Amino acid sequence: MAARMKFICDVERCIDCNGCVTACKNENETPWGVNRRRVVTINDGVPGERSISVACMHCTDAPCLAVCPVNCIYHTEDGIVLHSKDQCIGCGYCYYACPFGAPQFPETGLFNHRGKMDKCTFCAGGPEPDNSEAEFKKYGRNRIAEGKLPACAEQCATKALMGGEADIIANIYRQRVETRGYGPELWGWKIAYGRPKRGGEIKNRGEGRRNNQLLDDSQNEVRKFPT
Amino acid sequence: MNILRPCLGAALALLLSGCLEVNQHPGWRQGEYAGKRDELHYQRNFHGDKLAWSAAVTDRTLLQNEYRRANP
Repeated sequence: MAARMKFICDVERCIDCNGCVTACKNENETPWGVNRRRVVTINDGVPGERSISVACMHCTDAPCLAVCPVNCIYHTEDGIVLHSKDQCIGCGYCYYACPFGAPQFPETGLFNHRGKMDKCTFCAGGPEPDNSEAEFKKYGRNRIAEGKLPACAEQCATKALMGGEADIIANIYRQRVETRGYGPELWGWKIAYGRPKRGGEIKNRGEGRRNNQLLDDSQNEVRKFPT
Repeated sequence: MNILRPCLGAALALLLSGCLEVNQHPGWRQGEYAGKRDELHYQRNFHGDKLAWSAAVTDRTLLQNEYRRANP
């Protein structure tokens, strides 16, 4: 089977710097109000908060593709979900279908007054000649055709956001979790990565505290200041 | 009645065809993905050399693993 290009965000490493959001806007020169990628923080301000960078997840069974009435969305042979802005009628069905809020529209309004849908292309452009001006204007940079990965993943300082072939990045993530001994709970470790162990062992399971967590540390104690 | 039966059958088939989902992975044929004209990723910059392109992308994917540089 051909490669399946995916993103994965390691929430234990994401520091909510929004570097990926900035890199995406800069690389693709998306207009004001269109954010192909954004960072969502869960339990903001509470000890134990987590941040996750979200964009189009390039679903293998994409709901946006299933609901599009003009069938303008398609999978490339590497599993990247792209769309044709020439065919898009701006109905917004994909926006309602997407569980990640990936499709963006340049205008607000009702049916077909929102303009053409815009979404993360995995930096792979769209249905125009690769690296042409027309492609850049409609879909942004085509880094994949240059043999590169999406700008957001490549610039991530903590390497929280990874992009690339699913098998490879899943293996990198698995090695991290096995080394540090915690972290996969949010994603459902057994479903996604449950393979026989090679090397490290996962010590922490479920909701309990980590075995190396200092309970009186300032991060876990609301009334305490970091010193 | 004899004419009505095949007509009903055709109407039912037509009705059910509206319930079908589009093919999610149509494949690249004659320069198009199900009617959307697009090039393969390795066609232009890599001159159709899929192996070279996939080696470049895999290299960069593996670079995201800093444990390869300094194993903790």
